[in-house]
Amino acid sequence: MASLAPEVAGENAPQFPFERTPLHPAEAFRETQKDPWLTPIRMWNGQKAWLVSKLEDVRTLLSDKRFSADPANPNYPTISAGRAAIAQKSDPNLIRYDGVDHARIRKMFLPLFTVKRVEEMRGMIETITHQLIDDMLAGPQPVDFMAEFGLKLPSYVLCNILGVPKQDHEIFHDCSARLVDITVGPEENLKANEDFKGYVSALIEAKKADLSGTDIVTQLIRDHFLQGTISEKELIANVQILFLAGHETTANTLAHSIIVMLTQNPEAWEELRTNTDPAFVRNAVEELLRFTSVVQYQCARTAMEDIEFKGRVIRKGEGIYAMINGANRDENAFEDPNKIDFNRHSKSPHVTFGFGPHQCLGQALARLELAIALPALAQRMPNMKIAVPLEEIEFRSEALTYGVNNVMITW
Amino acid sequence: MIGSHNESIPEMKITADEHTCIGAGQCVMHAPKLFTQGEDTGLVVVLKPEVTSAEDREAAEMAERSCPVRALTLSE
Repeated sequence: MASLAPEVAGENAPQFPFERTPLHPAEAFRETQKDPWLTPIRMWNGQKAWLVSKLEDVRTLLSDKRFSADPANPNYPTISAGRAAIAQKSDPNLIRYDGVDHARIRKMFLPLFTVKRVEEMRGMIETITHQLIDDMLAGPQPVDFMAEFGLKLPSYVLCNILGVPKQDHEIFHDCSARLVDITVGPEENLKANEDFKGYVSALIEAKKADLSGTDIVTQLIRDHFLQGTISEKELIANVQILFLAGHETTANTLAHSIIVMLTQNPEAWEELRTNTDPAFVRNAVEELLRFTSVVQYQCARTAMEDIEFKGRVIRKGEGIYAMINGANRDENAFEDPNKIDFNRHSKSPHVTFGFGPHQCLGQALARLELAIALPALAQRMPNMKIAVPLEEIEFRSEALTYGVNNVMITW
Repeated sequence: MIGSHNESIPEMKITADEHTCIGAGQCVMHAPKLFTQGEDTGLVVVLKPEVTSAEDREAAEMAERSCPVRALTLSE
């Protein structure tokens, strides 16, 4: 069966990534969603890959076991030289594992993040949320929402879950914030990454010496590390990725949500302020997740064998980029997809958390944080405004996780 | 008296493949009356293997569509 191999299709393959606007994924996806098959794209180094932008195709291909998530595979598509260098660092975390090894690690972590287990964290999340709001209200205006709330909420929640001692919460937070700050330059980020690894190692050592804790790290040590089913390196790498995967994602979803509501959809902000029905709030959160879809360049895969797909073949070794944010605006799945509608009840679930075996482990936690924080902010800071015009906000267009480095607010 | 028919209401059967399940919990989120997650494993447990009401069917269908690894099967 003939394949439109990227090599052959290549002449007109558009350069990837595509340009986007602050509030929406690249407009180009509306065109690529009309393509009969996958769209050939050209990466920063001239390498070719297949873009997947239709929602149904994203679902199908991300759940196909014949793809590998390992960034170290040759031809794994990357969006920059920097990302390509990071891709070669073979950190033993579950994001880059496949098959049996992926399942082994995933099965250790998933009981810790069930819907029920996460619901038990509600009180802790509410306490942190309201403390952060108290602190903002008691302080001067304007304030950087990212620094004072967006980054802090998920960070302190994670510190609690991991059993980081209270006096170390600030250190973990500052270090993680430095790690994701793209204004400080890659060397700073790498240094922060090393520092963070050090803190995680020290935390694990402390927990090993005292197994009485009820936190996640102690449980992982007791139930798995001491049984020999996870190596020390794997334990460190996975606790590290757990923190990182749950920090800037939630932070940017919070920031992006308030920017969108306050600058474009004030009626949505008002709805959140007044409608406390839990079913409504859950749906509003789903809609904001669909619309903001901050993780943009994460879902790259390589085919481990020839894969027949809709009458053609993705050849062994070829790379694909599943654009989950573009797929979330697929008009075949969502009516009027570029509109925020808190009463939307689409038959299609969004793919903000990805799809397939690697779908976000922490999604129940992310949902709960958003369901608590967004109404609390709307209720306690109803007159919140973004202090600068939209055009002046610096958006992280090329980052794996879209969003902002800072956003000043007044109330 | 007109005899009452015992009209059989079509059942939808729900099965879940625990081996495929990755504990994403989407089924629980969309259909909490039909699914839960095992206490120790976090893997899917079907609470109601047969459903008949329109509400339950719709919830089951949403759960099936949301499962990231297609671990749920619905059959009439």
